[in-house]
Amino acid sequence: MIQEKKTEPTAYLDIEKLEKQFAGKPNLLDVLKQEFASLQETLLPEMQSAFAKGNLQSLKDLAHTLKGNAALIGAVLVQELSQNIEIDARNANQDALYDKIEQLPPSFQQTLAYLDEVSVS
Amino acid sequence: MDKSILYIDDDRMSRQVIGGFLQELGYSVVLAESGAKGLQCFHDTTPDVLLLDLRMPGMDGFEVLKQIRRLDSEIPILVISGIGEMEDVIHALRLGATNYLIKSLDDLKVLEKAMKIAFYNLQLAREKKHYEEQLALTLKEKERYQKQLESVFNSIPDGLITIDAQNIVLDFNKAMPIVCPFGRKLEVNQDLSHLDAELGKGCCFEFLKMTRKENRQILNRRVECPYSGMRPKVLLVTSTPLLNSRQELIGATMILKDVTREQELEEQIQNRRKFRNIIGKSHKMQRVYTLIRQLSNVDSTVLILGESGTGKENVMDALHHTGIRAEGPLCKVNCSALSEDLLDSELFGHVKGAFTGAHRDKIGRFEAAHKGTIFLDEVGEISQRIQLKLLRVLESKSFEKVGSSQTITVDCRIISATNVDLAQKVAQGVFREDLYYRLKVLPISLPPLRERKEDIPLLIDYFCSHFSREFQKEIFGVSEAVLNIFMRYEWPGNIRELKHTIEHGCLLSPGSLINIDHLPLEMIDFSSSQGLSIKSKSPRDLTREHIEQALAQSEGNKSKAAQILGCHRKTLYRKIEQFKLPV
Repeated sequence: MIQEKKTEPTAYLDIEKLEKQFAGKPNLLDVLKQEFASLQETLLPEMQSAFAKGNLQSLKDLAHTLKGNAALIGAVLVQELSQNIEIDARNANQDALYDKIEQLPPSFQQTLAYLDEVSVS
Repeated sequence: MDKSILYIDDDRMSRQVIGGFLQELGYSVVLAESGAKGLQCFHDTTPDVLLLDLRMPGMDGFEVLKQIRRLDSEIPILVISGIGEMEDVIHALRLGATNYLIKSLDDLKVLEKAMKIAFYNLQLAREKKHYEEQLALTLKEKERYQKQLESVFNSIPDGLITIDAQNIVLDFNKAMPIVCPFGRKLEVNQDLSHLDAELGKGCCFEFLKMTRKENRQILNRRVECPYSGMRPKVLLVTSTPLLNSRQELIGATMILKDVTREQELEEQIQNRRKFRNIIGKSHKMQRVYTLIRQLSNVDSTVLILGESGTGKENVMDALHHTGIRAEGPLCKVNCSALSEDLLDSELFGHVKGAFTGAHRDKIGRFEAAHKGTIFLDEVGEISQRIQLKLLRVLESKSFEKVGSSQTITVDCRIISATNVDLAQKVAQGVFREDLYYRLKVLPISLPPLRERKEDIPLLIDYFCSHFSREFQKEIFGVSEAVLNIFMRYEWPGNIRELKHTIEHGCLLSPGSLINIDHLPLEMIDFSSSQGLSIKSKSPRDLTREHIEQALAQSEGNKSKAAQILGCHRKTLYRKIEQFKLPV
C-alpha cells in the first residue's frame, strides 16, 4: 500500500541526492520546487480530466511529461506512477488506470512535502 | 569564448531546471519550447551545441534532428529522452545525434560531463578544421612553390641532376637528356651504380660520383663528352654535395652547361681570319688584332710600323672605326707626298696672305680632325721644321696657322705610320729623338707577307672575290702551281704586290682559275728560276691542271712539257689521252 511506503521518505524523494545535485545552486532549487509544485495545479487536474473524458492519448502524453518532471527531481514514486499510467493509457487499460489516477494526488502531495524539506546553501 | 547551447524542449519545468542548471555551469543557453521555434533559433543564434528533447508535440525532436543535420554535420547534438525510451535513443543516434541523456536527477551530473565532452570535441573539431584549413593552405602553397620550382628547374637550359647518398637518381630536369647524350638513359629512382659499365672514363657523371664519394665541390670542369658522336660536345660540369641541416652528406647535384658554341666562338676568335679589312689568321696577325682591340678605345698616339704594302692604312682604319672616335672625322695626310711648305700649310692651315697664293684662310688637317683622328702616313719623311711643330702638337695639342699668331687647340688622336727605320734615322740625326718617342708610345708592327705565308690562301680568296665582283667574272682561285709559286715567293711588295698579282691574273684568266701563264712576267720568271713545283710530282699525282700548265708553259711542246713535269714523254701522252686534252 502506498500509505505504508509513505513511512520511507526515500520512496518519494531522495533528499540527500537532490541536495547534493543542487548544492551551491539554491536559486535553481527554488525554481525546481516552484515548477514542480505548479504541476499540482496544472498537470494533475489535466490528467484527471483526460481520464474522466476517456481521452487516453492525452492522458498518455500528460503522464509522459509528469514522468519526466518527476525523474528530474528524483520523485521516485510519482515517476513510477506516471510511467505506469503512460503504459496503461497506451494499452487502453482503463481498469488499471483508475487506481493509479487515484493514488497520484496523495503521492504528489507527499513528495511536495518532502521537497519542501530540501535545502541547500 | 562564449559557449552557447540551444535547448529545445516542450516541457516548461525541464527548460527551467535543465536550462538553469546549464547556465549555472557557465553556458549561454537559448531556450526553445517547440521544434519549429528551435529551428528558428538555430538559424538566428548559430549555437555551439544543441540539446534536444525527442518527444514533443508538433515537430518532434527526430524531425528537428534531421533538419539540423542536413544544415550542419558538425554541431554536437545531445538528445534527451525519458526513462525506458531506448528505442528513441537508438533512432536518434542513427539520425546523427552525438550523445544521449536520460531526463533524471542522476543524469544532471551526466549532462554536465556530456556537455564538457561535447565542447571539448567541438573545440577539437574546430581546431582540426582550422589545422586542416592551414594544412590545405600550406599544401596549396607548397604545391605552388613546387610548381614554380619545377618550372624553374625545367626552364633552365642547363642539365640538372640530383642523386642521393646511395647513388639513386632523385630527379633531373628536361634539359638533362638534351645537354647530355647519356641523359636519355636516365630514370628517376635509378641506381647510377648499375650504369658504371656504360659510363666510361671522362664522362661527366664521374664528377658527380666523385662529389658524392668525397663530399667536395667540383667547379666548372670542361669536358669533351665521349658520347656526343659525330659532333663533339663540350660540357662545363659543376657538381656540388647536397648537405642536410646538420651538414651531413645526403647526395649530390650536378649542373651540365653545353659550352660547345662558346668553345667554337672562342676558337673562332682565336683563329680569327679577318679583322675589319685586315685579312689573316696567322699567329702574328692575331697579335695585331689583339693590339688593335686594346688600343682602339684609348687616346694615346699609335705608330704603325711595317714595310710598304703591309696594310698600315687598314690598321689605322680599324683603330679609328672600332674606337671611341669612330663618329668623328678621319683625316689622312701622306707626309712624303708634299713639300715642306705645302705640308706645313696642309697640316696646320694658313691665313689669307700668309704667302704668295694664299688668297683665303685655310683650315689645316689637324683642325679638321678635331674630335676625330689624324693619320700621318710616311711620318719618317717630314722635315726638321715640321717635326718641331708636330712635336708641339703632340705635347700641347696646340699650334698656329701659317701666317697667324693665334694659337689653336685641337682634340684629336694622332696615328702615324712609317715604313722606314725611325730609330736609324734618329741615330743619323735626321729625325728628332723626342718626336720619335712621342710617336711610338704604342707601336704596332705589321709583319711582312713573307713572314705570314699561311695567310696567302686567305688573301687569294679575298682578292679573287674582290676582283671577280669588280671585273664581273667568276674567278674561284689560283691553280695549285700558282699557289706553290706564291708560297715560295718572298713578296717584297707585300700584300699590295699580291693584290696586284691577283688583279693581273683575274684580268688575264679566261676561265675560273688563275694559272701560271696569267701571272705577271716577273712572277713567271721567278717560277722558272725556282723550277715548277709540279716537277716534284710523281706521274700518278699529275692532274689535268698540271698537264695544262706544263703545255701552256712549253707553248704546246710536249717534250718540253714532259721535261717541266719531270716525267717521260709517253706518260705525258697517256695523261693527255686520259684527261682528253686538246692537243
